[in-house]
Amino acid sequence: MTDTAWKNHEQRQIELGPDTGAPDPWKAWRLTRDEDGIDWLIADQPGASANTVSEEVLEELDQILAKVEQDAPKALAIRSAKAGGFFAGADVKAFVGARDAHEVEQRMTRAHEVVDRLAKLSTPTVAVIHGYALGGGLEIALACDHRILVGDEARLGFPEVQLGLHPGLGGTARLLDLIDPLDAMQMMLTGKAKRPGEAKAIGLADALTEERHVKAAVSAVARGEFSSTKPGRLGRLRHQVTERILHADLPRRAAADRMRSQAAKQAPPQHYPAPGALVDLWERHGDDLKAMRKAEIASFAHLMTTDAAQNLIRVFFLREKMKRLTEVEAKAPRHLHVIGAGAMGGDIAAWAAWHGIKVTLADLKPEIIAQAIGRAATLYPKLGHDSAKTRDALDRLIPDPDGQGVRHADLIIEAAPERLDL
Amino acid sequence: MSRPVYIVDGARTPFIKARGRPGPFTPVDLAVQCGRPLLLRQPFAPSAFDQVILGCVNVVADEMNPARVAALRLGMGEAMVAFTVQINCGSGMLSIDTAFRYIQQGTADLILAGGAESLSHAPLVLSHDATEWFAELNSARSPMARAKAAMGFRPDFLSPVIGLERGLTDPITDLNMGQTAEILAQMFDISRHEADVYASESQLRSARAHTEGWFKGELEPAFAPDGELHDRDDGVRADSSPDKLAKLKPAFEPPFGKVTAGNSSQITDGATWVVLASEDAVKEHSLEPLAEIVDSRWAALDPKIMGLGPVMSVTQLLRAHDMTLSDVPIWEINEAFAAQVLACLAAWQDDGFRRQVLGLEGDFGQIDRERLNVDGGAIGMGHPVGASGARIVLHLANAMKRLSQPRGVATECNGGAQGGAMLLQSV
Repeated sequence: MTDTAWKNHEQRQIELGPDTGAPDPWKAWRLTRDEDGIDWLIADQPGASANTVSEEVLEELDQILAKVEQDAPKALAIRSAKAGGFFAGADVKAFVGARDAHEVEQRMTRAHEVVDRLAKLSTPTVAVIHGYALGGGLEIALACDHRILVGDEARLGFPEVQLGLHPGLGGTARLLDLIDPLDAMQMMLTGKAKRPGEAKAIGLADALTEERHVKAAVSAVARGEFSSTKPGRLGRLRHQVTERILHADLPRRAAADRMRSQAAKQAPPQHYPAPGALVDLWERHGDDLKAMRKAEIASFAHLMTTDAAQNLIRVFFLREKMKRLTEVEAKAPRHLHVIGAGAMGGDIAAWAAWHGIKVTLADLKPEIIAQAIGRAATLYPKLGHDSAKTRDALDRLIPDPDGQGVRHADLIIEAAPERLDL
Repeated sequence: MSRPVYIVDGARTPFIKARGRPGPFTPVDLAVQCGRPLLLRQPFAPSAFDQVILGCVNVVADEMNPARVAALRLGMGEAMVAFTVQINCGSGMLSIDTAFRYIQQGTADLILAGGAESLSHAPLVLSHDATEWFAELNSARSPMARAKAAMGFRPDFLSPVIGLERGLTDPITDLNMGQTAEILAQMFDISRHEADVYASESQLRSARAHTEGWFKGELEPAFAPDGELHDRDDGVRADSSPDKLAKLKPAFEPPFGKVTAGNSSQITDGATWVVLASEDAVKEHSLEPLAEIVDSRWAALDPKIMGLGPVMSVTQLLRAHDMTLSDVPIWEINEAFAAQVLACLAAWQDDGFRRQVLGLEGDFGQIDRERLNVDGGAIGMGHPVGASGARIVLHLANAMKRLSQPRGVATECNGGAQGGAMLLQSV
């Protein structure tokens, strides 16, 4: 007897522009025009759960951009049809075993041409991002005039450094151009993705909205009403000041030296050249972002052929394969009963409750259950900043000194110590 | 159509003394704490209920309509209708009464009803002048206007009004509840010693019930986020005696008053839920009824003597069923104040009161102390106002079963001078 009004009528479709039903000439994209004259360019690679930026995807994008240049729509909205996000990153598989830097450089130069074409488009462009926009995906988004983040799950980042690389599709220069250079360098050097609030605060996203307002937000872009909401007055001032200071060679060199030594502390540069290469790039071209985009290609191509990058990429694929192998088909239990609220039982129970499972936690001693609840209440705020989520997880974690949960549970875990006197 | 209505189960949290600062639980937290074990032991799914009714007097701002918030947090499903009722100290009984009427007339079969109160979370309220100042500050547009508005600040704006104190003061007569008990003590000649003897006996009965395990199943432990286990009513004193209570100073009308903190109910946090079922629901889910609700009555009188609410409502209830006090073998009268309970008993023995106020010709029987509040009451266990009315009904049902008594009455006085009374019979 749960509510059917929401279940049956919850808006499941995400806003992807009109569905004309006409066949698309492209594999990874479809392009439709809505009643307001806005073009919706939807990335939806066949047979994949996430979009990745491959050479094929970019070649198709090039053809599409040629069409858009001719059609001159009111605006171009780029979005993904995948539930997981915008683009999970670039297609690194294409570079496995690459040993010829010159060849990589040629391929990347071609890829840059496409992304530059997007950036130069006279039509206002907006990337509508839900979920992940990483690496090459973020670089496409950075080539748009605006970035609108949808919902709480959007994550924007450059994880290239974890593969022994730095951004290679013009992302280094475009990020440095868009936001405070120190924030930009930190993002690229750590590889940490930004949540919507942070992304907005540092000026990486123009607006945060909900799915229900996507169409209105895109229309506002088309009408030119979209006021790009940069960070607050203070943030903008800080951005301008650091930008101006770091435009000068000397301060930039000093900052670069500091970054280099910090990065070296994390990983030795002889084995792990990517951070150093990124800092070099900025130090040399931080005052000329166009030159930087060009230099990025050579630097990226060189890194790609290093042992470090090739090994890290191999490890990455092995890890992905392992993940797929261990993904068991079994459904998560709806109600878990845990016997024994000690360190192990209590923590299993807390973990399961956090992940949405109803848990009954039994122990002969209610004090032990109370301690487990206390530990969970301390743990949850560290896992997520949402106090409602903590409350709900604690509500699902049901102390059950009488063991009533056994009758209802579809999985029982015994975590009690094997002691004879019990 | 009038259908039988059964109490099939129920549970409450321990009643936790308010210690001058917000306790570990809000009203809904408390409702969730005792609701979870109660729902867990039912043979039917939480979503099988038709509705949820909760009594709560001091609703906190984060939990408007606490009944609905509790229903959702208890996983009873989004489609669960839930509402909150308020008649001050009788709110918990009013929720059961409302559920009783719905089931009796056939519009519902299974209702979760109860009460929740966190008196330690009663808000601090800004004085009227301070609120005005804030409003002016907020509506000032220009910096000059803001500066001008800010100048109006007075240091006494920082001293808040304690919401609980205002809540325990009758707005019509401006008497606080303790003062109304003083009036009753004078009206019916209740001495300080009699009140202390009653209070001490109540404490010892509660302590015995804890020791004997008579609250098992009725009292479910609460588990606080700080890792603390609350498994008993922490205001109960097993070492209470009239001599000890005699040492306390009058709380409301010093230095000559009779009502002290020791012979009054304690300010506590707590919740109670009761499962009410129709005959159909009992059959469908193979439930074992604890007791049947026969009837209930509400009555009202002058706010200055609010403590006589039980006399008025019980008299109506029993007369409607051609009974006297002596026909009811077991009683729960909520112990707002020892003097107030004793005044109720005295009123029924007062010829003039019986004839002129209750319109009774002759004797109406009496309630022996041995049959009244057999396991203690709010003096030892505490009085979380929204929850108490449900607690006395639930405990009456459990006590009737334990002591094999055929019927019982639970009744309480309500701030604002009303009384509620409910008649149960065994099944």
